[in-house]
Amino acid sequence: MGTKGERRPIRRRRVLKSAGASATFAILAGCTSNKGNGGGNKGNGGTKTSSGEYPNLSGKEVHFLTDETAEGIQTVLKNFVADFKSTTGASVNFETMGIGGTAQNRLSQLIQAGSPPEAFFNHDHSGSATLVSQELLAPMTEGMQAITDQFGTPPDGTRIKSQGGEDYFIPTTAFPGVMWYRKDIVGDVPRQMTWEKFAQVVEENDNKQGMRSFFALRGKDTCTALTTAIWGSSNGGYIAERVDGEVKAALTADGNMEKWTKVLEFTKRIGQHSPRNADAGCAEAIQAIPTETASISGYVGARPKRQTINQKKPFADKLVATHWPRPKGKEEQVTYGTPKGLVRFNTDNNKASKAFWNFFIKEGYYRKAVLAQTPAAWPVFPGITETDQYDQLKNKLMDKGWTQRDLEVMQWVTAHSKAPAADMTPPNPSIGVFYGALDLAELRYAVELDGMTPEAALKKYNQQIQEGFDKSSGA
Amino acid sequence: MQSEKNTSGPAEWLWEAKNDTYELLSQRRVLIAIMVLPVTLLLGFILFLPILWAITAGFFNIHALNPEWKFVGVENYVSILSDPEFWTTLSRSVVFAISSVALQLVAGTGIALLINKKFRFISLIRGVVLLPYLIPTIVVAYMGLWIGNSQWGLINIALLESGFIQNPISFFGNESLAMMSVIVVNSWKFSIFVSIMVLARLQGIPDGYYEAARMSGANAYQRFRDITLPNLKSIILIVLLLRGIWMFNKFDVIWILTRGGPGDATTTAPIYAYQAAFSSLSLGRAAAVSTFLFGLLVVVASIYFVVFKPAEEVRVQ
Repeated sequence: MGTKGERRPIRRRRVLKSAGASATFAILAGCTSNKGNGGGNKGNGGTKTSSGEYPNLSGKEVHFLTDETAEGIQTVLKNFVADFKSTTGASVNFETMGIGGTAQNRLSQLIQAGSPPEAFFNHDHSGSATLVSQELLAPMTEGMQAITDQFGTPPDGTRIKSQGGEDYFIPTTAFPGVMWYRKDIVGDVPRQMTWEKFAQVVEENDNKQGMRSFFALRGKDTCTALTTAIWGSSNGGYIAERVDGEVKAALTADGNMEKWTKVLEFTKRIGQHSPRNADAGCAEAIQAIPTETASISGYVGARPKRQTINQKKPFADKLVATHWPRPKGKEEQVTYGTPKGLVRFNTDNNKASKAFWNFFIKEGYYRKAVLAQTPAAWPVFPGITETDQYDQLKNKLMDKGWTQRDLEVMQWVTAHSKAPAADMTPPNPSIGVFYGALDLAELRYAVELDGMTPEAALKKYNQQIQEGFDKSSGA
Repeated sequence: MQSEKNTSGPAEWLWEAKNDTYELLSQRRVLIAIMVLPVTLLLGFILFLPILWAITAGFFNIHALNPEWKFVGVENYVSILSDPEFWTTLSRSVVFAISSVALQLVAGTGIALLINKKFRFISLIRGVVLLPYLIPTIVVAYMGLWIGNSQWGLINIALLESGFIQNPISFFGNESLAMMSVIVVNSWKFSIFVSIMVLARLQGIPDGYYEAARMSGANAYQRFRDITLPNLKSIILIVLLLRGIWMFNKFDVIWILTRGGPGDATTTAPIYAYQAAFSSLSLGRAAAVSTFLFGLLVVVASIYFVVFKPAEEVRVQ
């Protein structure tokens, strides 16, 4: 855990940092900053706006990464970068990467080159837990406090804190596990169902209007792994535990194996009412409802609903959100698709990166960026949904086919879920390794389609998960 | 002589300098240096340095997200060579490479023989047939993924609608079908590479050979066996080597289609290496896998050159 805070900066090998270039750049940056739209008052030491005071960062460069490519969020980030540059005089190298594994690969390149970026927008929680364990991140406690003051406290399961109490990750949005239903086929169902009730709904509604009642995921894919983790956590099952400070696979741990066995028996039972889709992953789960393949589909987030609306399906407003089913009497938090958030790296440019995120938070860009992702992902800080801007967004969504219930479910599930890494404290630094290997997806396939018993599969994949942890011991 | 040069004027001097330059450039060693050095330097940067980096990295424990390297000697090699999963993935790579090359060779040669005929619109048909090779591999893979999808793929829809099957076939999600399906999608594009090579050679075979064979009473099969095939031997040997190496190292198509699944049915050695680097975040281990595969290919290629002597085959032509 990164308890050393800012004491261990990584040396950078930037070739372009010659004194002459810096001086020239400082002059240029200083000139351009006067033309900015920051609207602040510049003193010798920095700039004051109505929301905060920022240092003069002329001659400093912030390398800023994101893998958010959607137009709305890109607009917010570009405006923010322009505003920050004009207010502080800093230059910003704004780099957008492709989605998927590209961000991880790029980060690895930069870190290996000894030149990590200063800031990353919407880095995933699991990967951030790994970065903290490698002491690569700098604390964000001040920023976290500023957001908490504005928007309340985020769920504990979305935070990454050191033993010293420092926050290293400021969550923005999460992808809550939600079950989407065609109300016009399945009928009204309660917001929270037990496993038994859910199984009954699935069994009674199979093959209605030529479609299966449930869409199960078994392909070797991230969404299969995530939804399997959600099913597991709904019964209190966990994946790993800390033994003498080391992360160990725990699918076969005392008490846990019984929970997972029941999970796999249950998913196999309801999976009989799904298309026999051994190749289904995220894309198929999103499209299952709009293509009328199934009437119920679970997903991490709201894409099934958005796709149904975007494809102008007549049943879009009949597609309703419900909490992920839990066994009777179980109150455990279920797992998210990993939350995303702000991180800053521990470099020799810490002053600039700190000012960068402070500016983002205090000047209103945090709220704008979060709402630009809503409802694809849901805001983690509860107060965001109490703002006027959220109300405007909500009205637009309800005009398009969203229901009050959909929004309430998204909000409730977000507040009552936990990140995959938050199974333990401090968060599991190896959870990204585990999800990358897709072992849970293989486990699901083995039991539901390959005829393996839950017990045998749990033993096999527990060993495989442990081998993955062992191989990833790293430096 | 010296005095003559001094009195000859600038035009003469320029003329001589030009001649001297031409003479210098005409020297075999200088010409070779000019032609080879830039390419060697370029290759050095984009090929040899990364190879050296990978070989070196294989002896270190390197977390992908930590710049500190810890020397561990041959520990990474011992670890991968004692891992049964590695040997399984290696055997899958061999199966994938041999099957892909065989399919590409047969299909590619067949297509080349077909489009070598002379009939109406042949130029247009040749253009259309060769088109898949121009499509980026990633696009080919995604097309394959959607055509073969079990829920809404074209093949399944066609088979279901025509009544040939009652339940959709999961080409990429069924353990017994996945490897074959991946090989077929992969070969769709790369068979065309073989076609291009074979077609070029076919067009170099003099028509007189076939006319003489016909006059001697040889049938189509005999003409293929005794004229076409021997003439294609050199191309086939080159294609075998190139496609074999490329298919053994194939990553993109398999990753897009199956991510190595279902289970680990299509996890080949390159995917094993990728997972070591970016799932397990162990760059040293991934580098050791890559170095081992590189060494293995060098050995196999050397044996190939000794046994088949492709250079001699080419010279015979």
